[in-house]
Formats: sequence, structure tokens, C-alpha cells
Amino acid sequence: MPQRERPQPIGIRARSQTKGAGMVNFSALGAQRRSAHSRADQIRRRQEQNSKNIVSHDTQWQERMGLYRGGLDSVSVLDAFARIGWIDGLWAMLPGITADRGIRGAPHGRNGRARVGIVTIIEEEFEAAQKVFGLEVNIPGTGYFVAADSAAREWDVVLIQASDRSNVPVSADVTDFMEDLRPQILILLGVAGGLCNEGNIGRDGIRPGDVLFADQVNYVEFLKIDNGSIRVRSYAVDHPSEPLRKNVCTPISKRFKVRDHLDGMIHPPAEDAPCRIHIGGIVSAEKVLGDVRSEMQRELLKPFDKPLAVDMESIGMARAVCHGRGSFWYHPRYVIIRGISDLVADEENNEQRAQWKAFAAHAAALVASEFVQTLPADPGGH
Amino acid sequence: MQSDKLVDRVRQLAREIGELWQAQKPPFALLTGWSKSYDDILSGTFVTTLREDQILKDALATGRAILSGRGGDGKTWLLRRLHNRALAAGHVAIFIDLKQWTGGDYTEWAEWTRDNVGDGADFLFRRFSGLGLGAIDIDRLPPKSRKIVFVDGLNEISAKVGLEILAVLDEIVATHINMSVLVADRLVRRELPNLNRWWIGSPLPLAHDEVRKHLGKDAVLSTDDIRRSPFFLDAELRAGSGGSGRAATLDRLVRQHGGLSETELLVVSEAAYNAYLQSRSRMFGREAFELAVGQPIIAKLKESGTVCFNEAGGFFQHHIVHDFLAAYYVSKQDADTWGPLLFRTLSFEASSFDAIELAFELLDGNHADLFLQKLYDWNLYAAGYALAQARESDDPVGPEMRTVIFAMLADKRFDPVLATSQRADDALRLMQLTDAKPFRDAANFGEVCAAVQLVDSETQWFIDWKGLFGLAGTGEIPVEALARIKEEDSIMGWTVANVSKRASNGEWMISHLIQWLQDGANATVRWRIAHVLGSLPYHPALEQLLQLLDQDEDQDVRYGAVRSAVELSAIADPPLRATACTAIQQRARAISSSDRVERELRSSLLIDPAKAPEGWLDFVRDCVRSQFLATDNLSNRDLWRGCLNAAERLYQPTVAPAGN
Repeated sequence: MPQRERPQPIGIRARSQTKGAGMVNFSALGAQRRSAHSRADQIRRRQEQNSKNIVSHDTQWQERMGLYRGGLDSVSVLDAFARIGWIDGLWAMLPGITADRGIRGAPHGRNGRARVGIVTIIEEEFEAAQKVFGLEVNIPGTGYFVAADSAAREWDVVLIQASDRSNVPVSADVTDFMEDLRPQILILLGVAGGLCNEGNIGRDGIRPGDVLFADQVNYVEFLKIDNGSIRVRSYAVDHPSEPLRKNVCTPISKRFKVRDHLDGMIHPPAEDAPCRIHIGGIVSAEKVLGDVRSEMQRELLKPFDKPLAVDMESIGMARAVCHGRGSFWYHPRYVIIRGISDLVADEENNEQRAQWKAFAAHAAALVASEFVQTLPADPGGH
Repeated sequence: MQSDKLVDRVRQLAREIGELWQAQKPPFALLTGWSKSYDDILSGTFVTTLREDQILKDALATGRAILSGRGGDGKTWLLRRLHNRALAAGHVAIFIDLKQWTGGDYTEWAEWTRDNVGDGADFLFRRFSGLGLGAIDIDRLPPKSRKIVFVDGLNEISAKVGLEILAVLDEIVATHINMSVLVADRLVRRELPNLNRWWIGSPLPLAHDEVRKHLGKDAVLSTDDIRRSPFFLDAELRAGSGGSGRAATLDRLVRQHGGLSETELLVVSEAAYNAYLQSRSRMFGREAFELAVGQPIIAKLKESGTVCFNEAGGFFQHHIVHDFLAAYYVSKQDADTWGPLLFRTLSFEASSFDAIELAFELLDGNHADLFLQKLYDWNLYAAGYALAQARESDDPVGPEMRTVIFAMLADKRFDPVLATSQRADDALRLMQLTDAKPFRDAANFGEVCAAVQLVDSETQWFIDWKGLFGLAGTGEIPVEALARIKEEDSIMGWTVANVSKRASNGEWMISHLIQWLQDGANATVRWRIAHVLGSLPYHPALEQLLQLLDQDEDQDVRYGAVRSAVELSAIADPPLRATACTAIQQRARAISSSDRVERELRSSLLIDPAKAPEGWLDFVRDCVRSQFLATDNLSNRDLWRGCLNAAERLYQPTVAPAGN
């Protein structure tokens, strides 16, 4: 493939004008914000905003506990916790000390900090993401790729290829990603099989080359079919972020045209492919139970008559993010962006998958790039 | 800042805890070796060597570090000093002292973690940190503050709970901001969660110069001198010299420093053993202990600092003193009492082998051999790990019995099941005795046989055993030798079982083995027969194994049968392998009803890729799928998922896309 200049995503390029190619300089962003408000003003505003946000929750909670006396300052959260016996020991020894509700910068991980973390699975997905986002620089000693080195170890977008396919390795990789770089937003980016209704027509008209923003994650293992009866077997997972779906994904699905962003070198294998963007459910198959086209998986998929696509990894992300939000200080969200590589129909479709896989991965990466550019520069950690 | 006050307050509390510890006087300068691999640590090769002042910065960069060492090599002192260093550096240091674990804590822990191991985090912090803080309170500290959890005494609780605690720590480090952990453990390979994120270290023996600094410049030191171990150097400084062994040093310590007479020693040792028996922990009930030994002895033990008491109960200042006393009691008992209960008690369910090795030292040669044989009856690896504690100068067990254990372990190094060969390798790597070397280094089974033949002895039983063991090298086993599988002597019986597995053209053995089963062989013999049947890839052998798996009342036999069914499948022709696979799948629910049998199946499926037949991944996949569907438990399902992933890495490194 001939070498050519990689297009820089607009948002990244714009931000990178401050310092360093393709990399957000957080201090520079801070300087921009300071041009509008003094640092003190900014802190005060954010404190006020934080307090307002917290008060709305705390008020209900304190009322329930019989503690509410008209304002946040009158009763500390810790005092309240202490009354219901949640906290003893140290807190009992610290009268008058309340929870710190000052400014909280998004936390750093063991290797630094990322605003957005992208996880891909197969080689085609990784290459597409690397190309579209221009993430060619490896953070030494890790599997992470970024646009440029950063002395501050802060990056706007960081990419990793999962160590293996399926839910278990993806879950482990996402867990490591969160510990290493504490990304605020995680994206599971790649390809998936479209699900069909009767007549082998893709649900919601989904076709190869289309892109799906998943709004929910389902899992075949949540339903157990036993002697003809169905039983629910679930565990706690996070679904893709609803606010991001409402405020970012839905607008993109309405106005962004994948075809308008193809660079002339990459075309869909079918000229008439609409390359639409869908929002809908995705269902994760379980690798232990066989290929998604195996009889057992297809039987298990039947009760899930609404999701538009099937993959093997989404539940790994959903579980890892749920599990990884184990600290007061870190609440990542995630989205799933999947290009459709084939339709999981009755007949064998290996050929279709082989034909569309690279394009589907590229289309998904283009949509992901638009998604990242649409996000606020730094959504914060809370 | 309010949050800074919180941090200061927690640090102050931690400092107050640190001030309660008696400083080690004199302090010894310790070096530690580090690597990312247990293979390196167990064979004593390190990526880097760190001084104490370098550990916090360098070893905790990954967030997870485990310091694996032998008893008495100064792990606790080191951990305490690092705790204080961390505080001095402005970090939040939390010391989880698992030596305070009591028998009741096992019950409570099981309750807390019944649904999810991670649920035990709050219990762990609140019960053992001494800070009165739960997990959420630690997390509430501001993210900018660096938090380091030091965990001491992981080897002083059962291996199962130890692994669960490691899982909890791993999760805390992953989710809490700016959190690290440093764990002290015994020198053994742990199934660390997230292995590649751990940094593994081991305290090195004290340098000769460091020892001579305290003993005098003319002190004569051997390479494996026990005084290169901080505890024993300290013991000699307190109680004087007079013997080279660990048991001799400890004996002197409790008599001279502890002030105990022989009669008092017997009383205390019985109470010490009973404390292990009743509490399964280093902590024991104060009242029962005081009642058993009486106030005058208690006064002596307290005055010398040998025993301490707190609100939770009593404990010996150093676990190795408790181990010595328990071993002393065992060494005075009749050999008939040396059985599984005693070994489980003494080793904390095969977690810690110092007490067992000390019992070797306290017994005379013949009794030490018998003790090792009985230990072998219980658990080969326990015998191996216990022997690995011994130093050249200890010489507790005769060369014949040592050779038997080395050879049996070396035989397992070539086992097709990866977990088995790794355990055997580990045990041999840990051996400090020089005559273990040829067994550790043998490149094939022939070299193991050659190493055995080189051991010369006039002892009749050993000559007999050598003859039996040597049959393995010929591939031929006469029926009268096979019949010795029924012998009561476990070493002979198991040697026959192992040798028979190596016989060529062994189909003729099946009818004999089945006949002996029908004749009412005892459980141990049935287990040995199941072991041999796994090497005979014929339908009758498979049918017999399945019958044992279905019907045998003894769990060891069922455990052996499931493993052998897998081994048989790995060497069977494709139709027989398919039959075996279907049979195992059909028994998925029965297999999953026993943790031990299920665990053994999972382990057995992962065989050496060089020995795996074509299509082995399909066999594993089918077995895994059945077991996966047979359980609703999420953790169990994860284990099966993990098993399949491991199999794919072993047998098909590049997996075809599934769903992508």
C-alpha cells in the first residue's frame, strides 16, 4: 500500500495546534479557559456546580435519613454516613471533616492519562483505527499507541489491540487500560455481524458497510434454555452511556455521512451500499458455546429479537467498565461502535465477511473519529 | 484542604501502629532479587537486585509486588521498615497483618465472600489494618495521595484463602486510584491474578560481610549457613552458638532465651500444636492456651517476648518459634499418629512447610525417613516442598529416601499435564540439597533413571525400589511387578503405578487391573490403578475409568479417574478419543458437583502441546462447553472460559475470527 499522508481528525488537529502534534496539552487548554475566567472564578464556579449537583442527590438522601436541615453545609455527608453506621473507625475520630468536594481533576493511571481509550480486536480494526486517528507512536513498554509522545503522560486518544478475541481477554485488557491510563471514555471499535429477521433481511435494514452505535448490550449467557424453558441468568454490567448516545451518537447518526468521508482509496465493496449509521442493541455471543453461526449460538440468539448485531466482545467491555468503576474518583463511560462486516444469515457467509471486513472496520473508525471530535475537550471524571 | 487533613490523620494512625513494633536490633541490611517470573525466582535468578531503600520506588512501579521467601529470612521486618519508609515519604501506608488471622476469620471470610471474592475487601481492611477503616474509606482519600498496602503473613493462612486475598488485592489495585500493594509470601508459585502485572521478589541470604559484622570478622560461614538468614542470625546473637541446624538453634533459643526447662518445653509444645489444630492460624485463644500451659510458663514466655497477647488472642513473636514447638511435639509422638490430619495441621493445609521440615530435623534418621514416607503418602508435593526447606548441613533425611522423593518428582517433570510438570519442576528448583541437582537438570526420563542408578546404598528396601524404578527405563514390566501395585507400602505401590504407565504394549495389564478392582482393592490401590489405566488407550480401560468416575465412593479415586480419562484420550486413536469426549461431556454435571474433580479436569485438559494429538483443541473445547453449561456459577464459568483461552493459546495460537 502506498504511503500517504494520514488525515488528521479535525478535532485533534485543532487542539494539537496548542502544543505537540495530535496531542492535547491540558495545561494549554487550561490557559484557554483562563482567558475567559480567572482561575479563582473557575474554581468557584466549578465548586458551586459540583455542590449543586451533589445537593440534589444529598437532599433526597438526607431527607430519607432524617438529616436534611436546609443545605449541604449543615450536615456533612460523613456525619450522615456515620449515623447509619457505614463508617466508623477513622471517621468517628474526625468530627467536622466533610468530604472533599473541591476540584477533582480526572485521575491519572499508572502510565498516565487518556481522555479517550479505543480498544480494537482484530488486525483490520486496529489498522483502521491507527490510520484514521493517526496513532502511530507506541508508549514504550506497553501495547498502547498514541499520536505523539507526551512528557506529561497525558494523551487525547490512546489505542490498543486486545490481546485476544472474545469476552475474557477483552475484559482483562479493558481493566488494565483503566488502571494504566484512566480513560474517561472507552470505545470498543471494530466489526460485527448484522442480525437478520425472517427472509435474511437485516434488522432495521442493517447491511454490510453500515455502522452501529450500540445502545444496549445483551448476552446469550443471560438466558439459559433448559428443556424448552427460558431462565434468566444475569450479572451486573454497564450499558453504553446513555447521555453519550443521546448527545453525541444520535446527532452523528443523523448528520454524519460515512461516504462523505471516504478518502478515495477505500470504497465499499458494493457501490450501492448506503453506509448508514444505526443505533440499536448488540448481543454478545459466548465463545465457549461455539462460533456465532453454530447451531447452539443461533438457538440462544433467537430470544434476542431486537438487537441489530452480534459480536463476541461487547459483554467483556460492559463487565469490565462496570467492575472498574470501583472508586469514588473514576467513572468511565463507554460506547460500542461496530461496522457491519456481514449478515449472520442461514447460509454461510464467509465470503461476504472477507469481502467487507476491512471496509466495515474503516467505516467504524471514521464514525469513531467523528464521535471523538464531537466530545467536549475534557469531559472530566465525574 | 480537608482532604489533606484526612490523609494526615490516616498517616498519623499508621505511624502510631508502626511505633508499636519493636525495631529489629541490630538491623540487618537485606538485599532482594526481583523478576517478573516465578521460574526465575524459584531458580534463584533475578532481573535486578534492590536494596531496601530502592524497593518502594522501583518494585512498586507496577503497583503489585510479592516478596516470596523462606521462613526466617526477614520478610516481616523488611515489610515493617518499608511501611515506615513509605510514611516518611509522605505516602499513605496500610499494613494488613494476616498473622492476626484466627480460626473464626475463616468462617467470617467465607460468609463475606460467598457471592463474590471481591466482597471481602472491606473485611480485610477493617479487620487486619488496625486503622478501623473499610475499603471505601481508603478509597475516599484523595486520588493524588499515594496509597500502599503492605500485606504480611499470606503464607500463614490456608492456600485457598491466600489466593482469594490476592484476588481482592489485585482488584483493589486495579480500581483504586494511586494504589499499590506489596505482599510477603512463602517461596512458592502462586496462581497470581493478572500475573504479568506482578513484580516478584525474594530476600537474598545476608552477605557474608553483613553476617561477620555481627558475629565477628573471623566467623566461619558456609554457603548455606543458616546464619545468613536474619532470624537465625538474630537467634544466635540472643542465645549464642552451639549447633548448625535450624532446629538446634531454635531449641537453644526457647530454652536459653525463653527460659524453658525440658518439662516446660513439652507442655508448651503440646499447647502450640493444639493451637494450630484448633485455630488453623497463628493466632490462638488466650484462655485455652493459658489453661494448657499454666501461669508460670506464661510469665516466662511473655517476659522473653516469645509469646504476645492482644485483644484477638495470643501469638508467638515469630511463627518459626511456633512451628518449632509444634514440630517438637510431633517429633515426640508415636509414628502411628503421623497422618493426614497431623500434616494438614502442621502445614496449614499444605501452605507452609517450615514446621514439617523442623520435625525432620528433630527426628533421628530412621524416624525422619518414616516421617517423609508418611508425608509422601499424603501428598508428594508436600514431601517435595518440605524437603526443599532442608539445607545441606541439616541432613535430616537419609540419601535413599531423598532419592526416592527426587526421582518421583523428576518423573512428574515429564508428565503430559502442564500443571503437574510445573509443580514438580518448582519443587525440585527449590531444593537446596546438592543431590537434587541431577534430577532437576535431567533432560529426559532416561537421565532420571541414570541419576537413580548412581545412588549407591546397601539398604535393602532401596535396592528393591531401585530395581522397580529401573523397570520404567526398559518399558517392560512383569506381572509379578505389576501386582505390587497392591502393596501397602505407598512408595513401592506408587512406584509400580508410575513405572507401569511407561510400559510399552501394556494392553495385557488391563484385565489384571480390572480383576484387582473387582477383588475389592482399597481406595489407595484403586487410585493407583486408575492412574495406570490412563496410559492404556483401549476401550476396556476407558470403560473402567468411567465406572470409577461414576461409582467410586472415594474422591481421590474419582479425581484420578477423570484425569486418567483425559490422559487416555490424549494418546487414543480418534474414534476412542471421540468416545471418551462424549463420555466426559455426559458426566459434566457429576464432575461439576465436586470442586476437586472439576478442578482436576480443568487442569488435565491443558497438556504439553508437544504431546497433544492433532485436534486436541476440539476435544478441550467440547469438554469445556459441557462443563460451562453444567454450572450457573459465574466464577466457575470464568474459569472454564479461561481454560478455553489457555487451550487456544497452547494449541492454536492464531485463532480464526469468531463473530468478527
